[in-house]
Amino acid sequence: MVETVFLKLFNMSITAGWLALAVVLVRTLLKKAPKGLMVVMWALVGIRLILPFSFESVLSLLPSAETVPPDILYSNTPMIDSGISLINSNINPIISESLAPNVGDSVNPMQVITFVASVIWIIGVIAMLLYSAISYIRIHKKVKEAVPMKENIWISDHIATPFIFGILRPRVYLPSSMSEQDVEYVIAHEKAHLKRRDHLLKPFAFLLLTVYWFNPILWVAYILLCRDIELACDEKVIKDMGEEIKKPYSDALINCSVPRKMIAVCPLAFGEVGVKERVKNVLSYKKPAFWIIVIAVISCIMVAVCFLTDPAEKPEDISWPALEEIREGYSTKQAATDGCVVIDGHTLLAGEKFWIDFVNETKEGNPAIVRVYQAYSDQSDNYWVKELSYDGEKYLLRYYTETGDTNEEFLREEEYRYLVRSPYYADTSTRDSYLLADSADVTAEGYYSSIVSSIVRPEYDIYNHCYVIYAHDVDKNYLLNSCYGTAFYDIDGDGGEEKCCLGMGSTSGVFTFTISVYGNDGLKYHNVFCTEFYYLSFVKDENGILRVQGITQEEPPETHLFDIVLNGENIELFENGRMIESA
Amino acid sequence: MNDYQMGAVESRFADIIWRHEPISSTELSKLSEELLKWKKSTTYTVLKRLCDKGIFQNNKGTVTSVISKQEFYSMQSERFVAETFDGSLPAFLTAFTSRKSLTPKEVAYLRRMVAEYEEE
Repeated sequence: MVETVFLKLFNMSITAGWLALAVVLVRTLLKKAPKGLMVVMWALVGIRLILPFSFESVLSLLPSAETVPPDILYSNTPMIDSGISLINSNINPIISESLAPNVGDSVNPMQVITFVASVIWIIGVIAMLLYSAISYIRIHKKVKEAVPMKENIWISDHIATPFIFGILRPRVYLPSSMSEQDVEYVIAHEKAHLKRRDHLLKPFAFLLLTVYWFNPILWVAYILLCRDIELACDEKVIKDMGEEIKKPYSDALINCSVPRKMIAVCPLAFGEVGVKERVKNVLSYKKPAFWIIVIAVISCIMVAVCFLTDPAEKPEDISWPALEEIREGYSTKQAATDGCVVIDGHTLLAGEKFWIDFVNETKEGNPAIVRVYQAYSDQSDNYWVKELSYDGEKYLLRYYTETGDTNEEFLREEEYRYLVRSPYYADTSTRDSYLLADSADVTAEGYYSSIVSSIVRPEYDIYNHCYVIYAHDVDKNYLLNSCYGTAFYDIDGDGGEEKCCLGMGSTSGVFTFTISVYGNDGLKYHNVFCTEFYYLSFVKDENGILRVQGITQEEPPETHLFDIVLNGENIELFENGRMIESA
Repeated sequence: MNDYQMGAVESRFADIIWRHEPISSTELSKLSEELLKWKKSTTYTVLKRLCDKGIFQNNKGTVTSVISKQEFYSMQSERFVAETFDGSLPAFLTAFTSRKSLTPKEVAYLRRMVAEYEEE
């Protein structure tokens, strides 16, 4: 599709632009270097524009090898990666919001924009090609009446400046009005062009410009290339013919710049360096010192290595602030900029890419980490920032939350064995849910059923300990939920840690809660307890003993600690010797 | 009378006619091809132009001069280049120098710069 081609070329022109800027910098710093070397550096820019790929190197100084990722056309949250955080953080929030696809649209705004841009690009290419074709035909007509002088040099009445025309059999055309003493030097100059293959290089560079006309930096590069080509040729002539020809050569330059008859003010020929600069350069030319050449060659190599190669895959460069520091005053915009998955109520605002990357990495067993920012802006200013990480074996969910009405915030850490993706069909919408669970058998359907079911069925209890962290459907509904707490603890003394979960029981009349314990093979122990209402959590004391803590909702609140005892097949809870009733 | 200007190349062609007139147009194009490496169409184009200027005439395939060579050159005070060049060269051509029109002051400055240059 033309959009994909255009995006690829767009990215290539950006990387070439960076390289061109580097060449401009080197050119400014190394004014004394032989200009022929500058032309080589411009050739590097050409290589960057031709080759759609390169190889990666840690030495690469390119900010980004792919500023506009092709998946921007399909993403819910279009984003670019220019490699420069300042640019990213200014552009991405804007385009993520305003160019994100809307429900009910038949096309993605990003696709429309890219398509329009591609059309404009093609129109530009055609215009450039037309210009080239028409110019070629005009010159061809003009030199029809030229007569040969010697070798491949011809003379014409109708041209005002000497030039070379023709790709396969290039000819040098001289104006018939040129004076005798200039002819020798002009011929030497044009022959130098032919030797250096400039008559091929320049049109080829222009051809590249035809394709990449939309990048202004490349126009600058082309203009400077043309200048360097001329200066390099001047230098070559002086080098070959000896420095004593500087004066007559400069005279020739001046003479050929003065039109015999001023018809109209001729615009500056494109890309051509002014006579003054050329004369100055010729007069001041000196064979460059050896060390200048060495420095120039080294610079050339460095620019090639640093800008022809692509940046290596950046390591997980997480610039997240610590969870502790963002318990207050952390806005959705800031979260998006910092690279979080941002959810407001049931709507995914930004960062879908991070979630997808996390899922893909962990699926392959690689450690990964992601942050989810969850807010309910229509209810309050509350938000949660949850950090989910995978170490290759277990998932760890970390977030700050409050307990009861003590408003004391503490860091909650929950471990899970599996991240299960399960589509769930409700009404006409589809929810693509992800559940953090300790069994691989959970399904989203089971999860939602367990929520609406007022009677706790043992097979649903597993869902009390699930954590739905991501759900995506046409309406973009997202759901997060949780249980009371989890902990890894060796409850039966078998040497291995089991996962212990505190969960909600049914609440018809009586408050119940559950303790479920999972081993490597699945559910090991499961008990339901009836008691007064508590805010429940696990606590570990300084000896590592796990207990259940319950805080009442009276005023003032009372804290109760329950010891956990395994009695045969059942878990029992004791407070000061008194056992809690099981259901 | 202003029309009577010929570039160096056109003059060569005119010379051929003056030297060999009266000459058939066919013969003329043959000679032009040999001496000037011109295609037949080019010969006819230039011939027509010179005829339109009133220097030569083409009667039913025979070319003769209207103005003789001596007459012509006596009318010229200075040889002008019929510059049909109407703009800058295409960007992709390798030319010798720019077509920026220099002011006489700039020209003088540059010439002086060259003249005063001394090799160190």
